[in-house]
Amino acid sequence: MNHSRTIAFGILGLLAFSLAAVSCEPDTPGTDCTDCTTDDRITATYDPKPYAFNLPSWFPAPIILPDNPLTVDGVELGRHLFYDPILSVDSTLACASCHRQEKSFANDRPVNTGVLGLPGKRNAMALINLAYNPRGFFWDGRAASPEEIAFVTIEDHLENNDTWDNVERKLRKHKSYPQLFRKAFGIERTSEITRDLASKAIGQFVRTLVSAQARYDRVLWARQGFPTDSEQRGISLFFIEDDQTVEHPGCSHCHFNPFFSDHNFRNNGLDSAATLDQFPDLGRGAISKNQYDNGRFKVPSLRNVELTAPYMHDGRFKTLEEVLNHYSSGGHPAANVDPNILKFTLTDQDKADLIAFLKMLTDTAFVNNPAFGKPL
Amino acid sequence: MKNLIWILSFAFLAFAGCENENGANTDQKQDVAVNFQASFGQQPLVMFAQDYAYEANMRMKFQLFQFYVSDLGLLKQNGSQTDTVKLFDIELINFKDVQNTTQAAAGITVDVKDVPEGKYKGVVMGLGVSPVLNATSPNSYTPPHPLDGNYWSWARGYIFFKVEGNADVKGDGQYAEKLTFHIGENQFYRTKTFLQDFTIDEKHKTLSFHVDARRVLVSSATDFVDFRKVTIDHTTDMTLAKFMADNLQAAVSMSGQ
Repeated sequence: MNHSRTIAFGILGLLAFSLAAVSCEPDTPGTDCTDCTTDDRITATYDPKPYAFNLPSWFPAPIILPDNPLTVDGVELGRHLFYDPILSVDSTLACASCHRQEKSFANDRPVNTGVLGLPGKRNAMALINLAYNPRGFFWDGRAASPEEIAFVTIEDHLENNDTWDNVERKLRKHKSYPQLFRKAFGIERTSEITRDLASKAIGQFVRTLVSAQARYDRVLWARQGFPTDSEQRGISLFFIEDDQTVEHPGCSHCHFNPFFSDHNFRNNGLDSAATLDQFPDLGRGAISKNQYDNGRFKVPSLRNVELTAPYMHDGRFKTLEEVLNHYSSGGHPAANVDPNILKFTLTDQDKADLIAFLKMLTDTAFVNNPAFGKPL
Repeated sequence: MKNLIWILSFAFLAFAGCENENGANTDQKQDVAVNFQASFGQQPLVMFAQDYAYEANMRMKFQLFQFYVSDLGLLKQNGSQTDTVKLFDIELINFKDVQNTTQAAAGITVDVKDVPEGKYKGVVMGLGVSPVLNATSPNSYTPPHPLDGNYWSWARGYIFFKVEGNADVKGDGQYAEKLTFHIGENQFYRTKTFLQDFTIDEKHKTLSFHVDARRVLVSSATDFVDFRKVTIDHTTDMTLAKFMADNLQAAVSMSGQ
C-alpha cells in the first residue's frame, strides 16, 4: 500500500513537473539550439516576395524606407520577434507585452514597467499607422523610424534592458530564427544575423499595422450607413469651425483626416511652467535641446482612441471625459502652449456627442486581424 | 562638295549656338534655390524669442507663420504672361523653426532641380493652394508632402496661410491673448506677378523673395487686425479673410537673385 502510494505520488509529481515545464516554456517559435554555434550555415530557401498592403482608396501609399522594402517573410520574421520575449534580458518581456493588439497596440497602464520592475517615464503609444508618420517616433520623437523604435527599446534600461550583443547571440543560436532571417534577408550564415536586420524586420511588421476600417471610414468613405444623431453632432463639433453661432473645440487643427494626427509635436497645455525650463517632463525639448520644444509631445492619432486609455504622455487622464475637460478648460499657461488650445464651453451633451464620434474611430477589424496577432 | 560641307558645318554651328525663343538654352539646366525671407516691418521675423511693437500700443509674438505657394513659374523673356517655365506646383513656406536671427537671415529655401538656363522677364506665383489642388485632400498624399496637412477636413480644403502667436493687448507684458488666424477657401487664393529681368545660369542660381508678416496684419495706421477685438478667425469673418488675403498678396515681394 505504502509502496503503491509512493508510486502514485511519484507519477503525480512527474506529471506536475511536466506541466510546470510546459507552462514555463517561452512562447517563442523555438529555443536555443544546443549544438548550434553563432556561425553556422543556414539552409532555408530565400525567395523574397513583396508584401502587398491591402489599403482602402481613402488611404495613400505608406512610407517605406528604400533600404528596408517590405517582404512577406520580412514581415513574418518581424511579427515573430515582436511577440517574442527573447528580446529582453531575462526573456520575460516582448514588444507585445506593452503593445497589445486588443488595445490598438497600446496598454491600459499609465506608464510601462520594464524587466527590472522599474516604472517607465511614459505611456505606451499605440502602434497604429506608423507607416504614415514622416517625423519623430515616441512621445519625444527620439526615434526616426519604426526600425529605430525597435533598435533603441532593446537596450533601454526601463524597458527590455538587454544588449544587442546578447540578443544577436541568442538569435544566432536559436533553433528557428536563423531560418526565418534567411527567408527574410537572404543571409547565409548565422553570424550574419545582426541588430540591424532584427530592427528592420520589426520595423517591417510595425509598418503593416494599418488601421483604416473604423466605422467612421465605412460611413464617410465607403458610404456604408449613416452616423447617428449624436455622432453627427460630434463630427460637427470636432471638425467644423465656421459657424459663428457655436463654439467649436477646434480638435481637427491637430487631429485631421485621414490619420487624426498632424504628426507634429505640440504643447497642449498639460502643465503650467513659469519658464520654459520648468516643465516636469521636457518631452521633445530633451531630445532637440531647443527650449521652445520643452513641454511638447507627439500628437497621437485618435484612431482607436477608445481602446488606448489612459491618455497623454504620462497617462494622467483615465477617460475621454477627462481629456475633454482638460481641453475645454483652455489648458495651463506656458510660453509655448499652442495658441489653438483655447477655453470653450462644453456641455454634457457636447461631451457625449464628441465621445460618440471618437468611438466611430474604433477599428475592430484592426484589433482582431490575425495577421497582426501572435504567430501560431 | 567642299562648299556643301562648309555650308552644313556653318548651319550646324549656327543652330547649336542658338538660344530658343525664350532666350534660354534648354540644353543647360541649373538647380535653383528659391528663397523666402520674412520680416516684421524692418525687423527679422523670429518665432517665440522676439516680441514686436504692434498697432495701438499692443505687442505681439509669433509661434507660427506659414503660407502656401502654388504654381511658381518663370516668365519666358519673349513669351506671354502665361508662357512660363513651372518650378513647382505647391510648396509650404513655413517659418515655424525660424527661432533666431541667423535662421531668419537664412530664410526658407526650396530647391528646384533642372531649371532651364536663360533670360527671364519675371516670376508668377499663387499665394495659397491653387483651386485644382485645393480640391484634393491629404488622403491623396503620402507624408511628408506639402499637402499632407493644414486641411479643413469637413468643408473647405486647405488652410492657405496661418498666423499664430500671442498678443499683449493691455501692456502688462503677459501676452495672454492667443492668436490664431487661418485663412483658406478658393475665393481667397491670390496670384502675383513680379516683372523683373533676370538670368538663370551657372552664376545665377537663386531667386529671392521677401514677405513682411506685419503687412499681412496691417494695411495702414487705421486699418489693421485689432487684437483687442479679434484674436481668432478661421475664415469665419469673410471681410477679415479677404483683408488678410489681400494683405499677403501685398506683403510678398521679389528681392532679386
